[in-house]
Amino acid sequence: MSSPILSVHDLSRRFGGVIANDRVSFDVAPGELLSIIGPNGAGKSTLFKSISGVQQPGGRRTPDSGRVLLEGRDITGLPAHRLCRLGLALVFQETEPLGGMTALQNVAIGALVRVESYHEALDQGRVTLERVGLSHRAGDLVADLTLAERKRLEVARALATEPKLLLLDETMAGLTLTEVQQAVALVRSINGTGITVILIEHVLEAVMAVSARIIVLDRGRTIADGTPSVVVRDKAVIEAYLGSALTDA
Amino acid sequence: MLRDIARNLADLAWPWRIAIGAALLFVVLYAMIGAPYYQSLLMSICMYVVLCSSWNVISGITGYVSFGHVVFWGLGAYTTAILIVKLQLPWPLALVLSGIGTAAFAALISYPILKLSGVYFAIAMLALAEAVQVLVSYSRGLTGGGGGIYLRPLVGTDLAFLLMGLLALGLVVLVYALQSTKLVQSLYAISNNELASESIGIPTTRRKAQALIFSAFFPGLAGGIYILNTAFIDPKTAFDIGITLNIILMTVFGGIGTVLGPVIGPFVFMALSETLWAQFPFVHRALLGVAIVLLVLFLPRGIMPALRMAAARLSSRRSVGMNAQ
Repeated sequence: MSSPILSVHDLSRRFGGVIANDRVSFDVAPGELLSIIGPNGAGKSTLFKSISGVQQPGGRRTPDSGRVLLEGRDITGLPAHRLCRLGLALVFQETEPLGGMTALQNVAIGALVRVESYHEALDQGRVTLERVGLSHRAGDLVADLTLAERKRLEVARALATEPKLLLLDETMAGLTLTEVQQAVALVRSINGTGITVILIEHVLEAVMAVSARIIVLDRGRTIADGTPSVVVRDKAVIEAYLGSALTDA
Repeated sequence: MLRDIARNLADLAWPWRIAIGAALLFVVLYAMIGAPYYQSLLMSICMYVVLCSSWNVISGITGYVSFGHVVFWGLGAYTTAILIVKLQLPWPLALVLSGIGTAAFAALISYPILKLSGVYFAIAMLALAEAVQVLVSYSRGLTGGGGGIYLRPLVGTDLAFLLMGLLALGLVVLVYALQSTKLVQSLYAISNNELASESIGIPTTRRKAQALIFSAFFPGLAGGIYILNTAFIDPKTAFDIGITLNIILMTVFGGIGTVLGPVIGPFVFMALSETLWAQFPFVHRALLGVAIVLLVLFLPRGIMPALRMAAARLSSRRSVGMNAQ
């Protein structure tokens, strides 16, 4: 494997007596499309937040122990805006729109991290909206968009920051089957342009189809790490997450 | 950023250019030939335009509603007075330094106070203004204490009106020119969603501090101009919460978060207040209260957004009409 774009070393995070992440470690190669899955409460979102510099409940950014490296540089505990500048973008599980602004403004503000001029950022925003198929919504307020469009917009906003690594936290949750298929196509096309993508997902079909590698978390620990076909046959995974239905099949 | 400012100014439609030119001409001419009573009234209005426009930057655009904005005005007045009385500085220098001093004060308090948001920030700013008032009242050697500080009258009403008018006009044009720039768009983003803003690379702490510093500088100057003209100020006037409440009322009246709301607000509000006072001297405050209640009921977002919506409706009706033909 070429030198990893992201390395997570022994990351642990406790909330009182609950261990949300227990010495999680993995490397991500540049250009990879990786999925992290796990049942509810497995610690996926906590992991996402520890990597991305978003403040955790209790006001702390830093994990209890462990390190996160982006292209070999220690980024543990750096604030999200610094990480964004370094090329790590994230899309939240709950949509976090700039609600009073238009779709174009949302994306242009993302582009502002790379350019000084707002007018230039608007031009780039138009290109990015085109890329995700939302050009026709450019002038509309975010509040008027459908859920699928809002999620797409958040991806566009993250893309506008020109990331090397994109973290998507359950962006497909709550979408219809067609919308999930469209989202999968979008994720593929993003990854196709050379951006490394980490999906944190619940929608299993999407993950199986789209990623070459899956990491499974359960109760804060990594219980499997491999190709989809290997992971679905893994005993620990079947017990912890997939349930008996797949065992029978 | 400078390129954006230049472009925004270049994009300004010609009716607005004419309006700005006319306002400039009026301020200069009226300072020369106007009646002192109206100069004084207009100076008060212009002072509130400065206070409202600057409050609007931190509270309307950035979304951090401050209940202590008067503190910057009061500090500006005191700094100007102290620099003139104690250091015998020429008044123009004292004025500029008081603007810079007030901005520096804002920079100093920005880090702890902007960690708070919502109602906590509002109350912290209120408490700050009260604390500064107490501090000024007790530092008798420097500030003259509760009795206030006196100057020789250095600036006549005509010149004070000219300075305040130019300051107000300059600030409003500047706020307009800053609209489509990285700074102000980042501030709008912060007021919309701070978490999202941070995640797309906006250094929210730094941007909020910049907004607070910007919004402190201009009241500092306005306070300085005020005391150069009145030649006296005491802590009760300088840090009067009534001024902050007026600022909030007028800005909400005109349209919070807009460029022209903080301009229209003081004009309409002061004109209304003066008229009611002249016509109904005994009940004018009650009538003003009724007017405010009516406004909040019928134009909850203020005059500017209501005008904008009416204009949009009119133009859409016109285009529908044209389509029908």
